[in-house]
Amino acid sequence: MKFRILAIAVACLALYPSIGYSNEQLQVASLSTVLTDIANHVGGDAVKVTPIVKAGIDPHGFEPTVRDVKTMADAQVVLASGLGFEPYLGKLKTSLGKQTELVIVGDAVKPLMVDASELCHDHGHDHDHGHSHAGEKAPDPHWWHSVSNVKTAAKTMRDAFIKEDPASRVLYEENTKAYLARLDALEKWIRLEIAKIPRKERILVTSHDALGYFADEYAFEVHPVQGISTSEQPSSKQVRALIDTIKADNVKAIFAENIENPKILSEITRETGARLGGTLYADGLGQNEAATYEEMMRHNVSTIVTALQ
Amino acid sequence: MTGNPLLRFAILALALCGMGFLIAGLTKRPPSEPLVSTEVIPKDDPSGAEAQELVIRFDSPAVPSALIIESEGAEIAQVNASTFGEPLHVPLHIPAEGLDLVVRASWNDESSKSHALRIRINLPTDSEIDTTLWGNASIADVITIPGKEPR
Repeated sequence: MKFRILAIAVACLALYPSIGYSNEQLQVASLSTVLTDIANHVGGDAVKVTPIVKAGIDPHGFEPTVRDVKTMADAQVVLASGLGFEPYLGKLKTSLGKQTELVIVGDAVKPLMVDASELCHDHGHDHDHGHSHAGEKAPDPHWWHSVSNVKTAAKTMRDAFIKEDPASRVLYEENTKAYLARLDALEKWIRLEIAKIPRKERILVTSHDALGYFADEYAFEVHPVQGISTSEQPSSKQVRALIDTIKADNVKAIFAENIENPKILSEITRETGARLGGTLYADGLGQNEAATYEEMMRHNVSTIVTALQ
Repeated sequence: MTGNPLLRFAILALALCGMGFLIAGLTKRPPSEPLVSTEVIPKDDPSGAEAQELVIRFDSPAVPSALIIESEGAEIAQVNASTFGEPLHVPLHIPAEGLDLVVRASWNDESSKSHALRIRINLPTDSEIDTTLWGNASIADVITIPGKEPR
């Protein structure tokens, strides 16, 4: 009798993971603060997201350490932005075992193509420069500045999580549905706020060229001081050309970013009379302020509208 | 003026306050009343270009209790229940880059949770924008009027 009870108990324990909600959290590692936030919304309690790139770190200059690679190799899912944002992805894929699914979220979005020479220095180039990229196009990697792309990212993550953890399918689907509703509301709010700025005054002068998707979505022109990468430094000729543009277009304000030193922008404001409009978050979330994707977008939009209205 | 400095200060302060109240009273805006007609005063266009006219028609199963149109952060028209079915003539300066109008409507009708508002806009170019906004007790959305050089 006791043996039968014990056998039934063991059988129940063996069946438990397949008949209900899995008690084990899906281990996820993330190479971007934005991806970390989206993953937490989509995964909820069913996932444990370990951020490899944390707030305050410039992702353009980031290289994963041996410890970071080990953390990612121990995860079941690794999330990357893609579109050339992480130039080390090829090497990383080799380092991760077959048990780890590398999800390049940016592969699912519709990319904005830009002049490849702007991307030359930091993104996706493993070879020595011996040639020019003039005339070539490459994707702008900052896809998260379009809310529509973030909706696509949420669905991509949902599908990846379900593939690795089918037992929590219902939870991932419900979480994603709720998050998409929040993103719809965010998108509407952004449109209503941006409508306050006359279209001819929608000119963004920013530290580096990270707001292309935002500009495309809401009819802005972007004039970056630096190129796509934060490591590029503008020449004096480029700065002079920018100053002339700011004066000609009567640009009211220019914007720094959370990571870069706004020194060059301060010099430009002195020459043009445009004021420093505030700090925008471009490459990732903030540590205290703009700590979630929604907060980041609301902060950026409010800053822009206040400065340009 | 001779005399106690404190007294002099107090008299001066009272005089300034009195002037302040007078100025505030003269510059106080009278309470706004809902427009009965749909007359709109266009904003001055620095380029000196003449205003163009949009003709806007609204349609909804339930007439909204409030309906306003904004442009560049300012209210440019307000429609009340009695004129809801009539075309709204809106003189506007439409820049080459285009113009974003914001339409805000709200309903006090508690019997229905969902509302729809159809908006048809006849443009100066003889083309038409025809769109329907959906929402619950309130609706707000942006309608873009294209310009000659859209951005």
